[in-house]
Amino acid sequence: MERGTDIRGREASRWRRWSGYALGIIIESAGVAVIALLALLLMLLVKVIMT
Amino acid sequence: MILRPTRDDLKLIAWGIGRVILGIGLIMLVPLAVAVVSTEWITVLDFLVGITACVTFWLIMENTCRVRGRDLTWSHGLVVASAGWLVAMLFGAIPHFLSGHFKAYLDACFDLMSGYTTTGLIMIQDLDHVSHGLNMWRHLLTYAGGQGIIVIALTFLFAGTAGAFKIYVSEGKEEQLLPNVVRTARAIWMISLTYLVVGSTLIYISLLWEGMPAGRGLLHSVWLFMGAWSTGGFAPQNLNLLYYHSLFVELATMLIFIIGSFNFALHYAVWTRRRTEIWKNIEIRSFTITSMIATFMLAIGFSKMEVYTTLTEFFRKGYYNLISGHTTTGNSTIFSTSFYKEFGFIAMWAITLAMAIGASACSTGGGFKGLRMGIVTKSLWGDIKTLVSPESAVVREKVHHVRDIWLDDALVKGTMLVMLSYVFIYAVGGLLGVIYGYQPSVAFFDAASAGSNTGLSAGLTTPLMPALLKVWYIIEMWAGRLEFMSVFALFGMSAAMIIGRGKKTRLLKGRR
Repeated sequence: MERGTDIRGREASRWRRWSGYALGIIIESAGVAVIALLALLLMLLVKVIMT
Repeated sequence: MILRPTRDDLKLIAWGIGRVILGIGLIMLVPLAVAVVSTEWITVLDFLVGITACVTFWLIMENTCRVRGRDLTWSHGLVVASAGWLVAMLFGAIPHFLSGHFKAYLDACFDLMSGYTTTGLIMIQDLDHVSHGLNMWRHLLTYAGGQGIIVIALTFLFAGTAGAFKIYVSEGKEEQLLPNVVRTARAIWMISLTYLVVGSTLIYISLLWEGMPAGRGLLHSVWLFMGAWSTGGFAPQNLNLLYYHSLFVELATMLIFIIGSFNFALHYAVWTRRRTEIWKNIEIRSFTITSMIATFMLAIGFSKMEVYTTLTEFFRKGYYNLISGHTTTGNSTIFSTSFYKEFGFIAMWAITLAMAIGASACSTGGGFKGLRMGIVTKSLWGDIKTLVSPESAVVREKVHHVRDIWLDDALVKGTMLVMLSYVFIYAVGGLLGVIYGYQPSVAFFDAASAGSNTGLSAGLTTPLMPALLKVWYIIEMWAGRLEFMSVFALFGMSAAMIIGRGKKTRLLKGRR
């Protein structure tokens, strides 16, 4: 019984850890998207000013 | 007074290098397996020769140089890291040279150093017809080099030795993600391998979408991921990313190389519940600001030259190459000659400066690093605040990188010293290029590319370039990747061997 609880506990912990990693990947990707969008906006601004 | 190293010191260093070379031999097993599966028997032989050479070297060092009861000191660690990379270049170049795709052994060594240091400049000829085995080796060594050759050795071969931390730090990675350095090395691998699965899948889907056959697409996706994540910029085709003509592949690789250029400590923080670190971190802020300034210069340059005028063209031909340069990757969507034929002076210098600044510290990238840019800028800001504050005011500045770091004179001085060293190697490389008759903008572009471990080329770096320039670029790539300290230590030890005093005195007596 104790052994079963222990295994379930470890699986839950592993699941929490890997879902945390997945969220980390999503956050990092969102950060990159924000930087790229800012650059595109800047390029549009320069285009408007230069024409 | 400089003291001459003892025989035991030299033996310890040779023993450490032997372990690093064994690591290189073990990595060669992967391309060997790929060559066997692809029935490329000549390539199999090339790798068997390479592996035999590495294992033989390790056996000799292990049996003749092991010093019982002594562990690596700080100075040993520095010299093992710097000399280890050079010896690793010589052994790793064996399969390259035997493949027949290189004009000379120097060219093979150039490509090896370029790969290990995640630079991406190439001397290889007829790249489009290279065997799968050799292509796997090219990309694997840049992937492994991105994490650090020493990190590999630490993960598998130095476990349990107290000297492990000393050679870890000597490879330009100063940060510990976890209290134990071997666990830190393993955490770095865990992050990289997780992204290997995610990133390769993303590229694979993009390649299948573009109609590439499944088997070929699988190999290309893994290789492209390794090139992008390690900020090495290698690709299996001579035209690099231009070969694919695919917006999806470009977006996927751009996402991967920007994330790949982030600090491993930042990855670890964001992955382990400190999510807001991505907005607060000085390196991300520094990268955002410098990339915006470079983007502004690029847009002005393109407007003046009247090239890449649409948003799509600007993004795919301009911004992609700029960010590839800023993250010190080197993946490119244009011909190398386009940099000086189409980009013009302003846009070309925007990329040169972005390359010189580079990516994050403790990442796979090179250049000054965002952390150093942040420290110097904050320090300058502190000086300005001191000037306008009352005399009795005490002004102290801090930067946030995983934790708050208060700036002091020693930190700023050390930072400036490393940045000046980068400027020195960029300048010497550029001047050498000019002396050999290349256009200044081209010469400084390629020199900054080599020193910052980027890999973009304006057309100077070819097998036909002068041998002295090839040697200097190898030195640039090596010193730039190791961030100078361990290179200085190697020069110091070499000098001590010549002019040092005392036969039995131990020069390399470090902190234990």
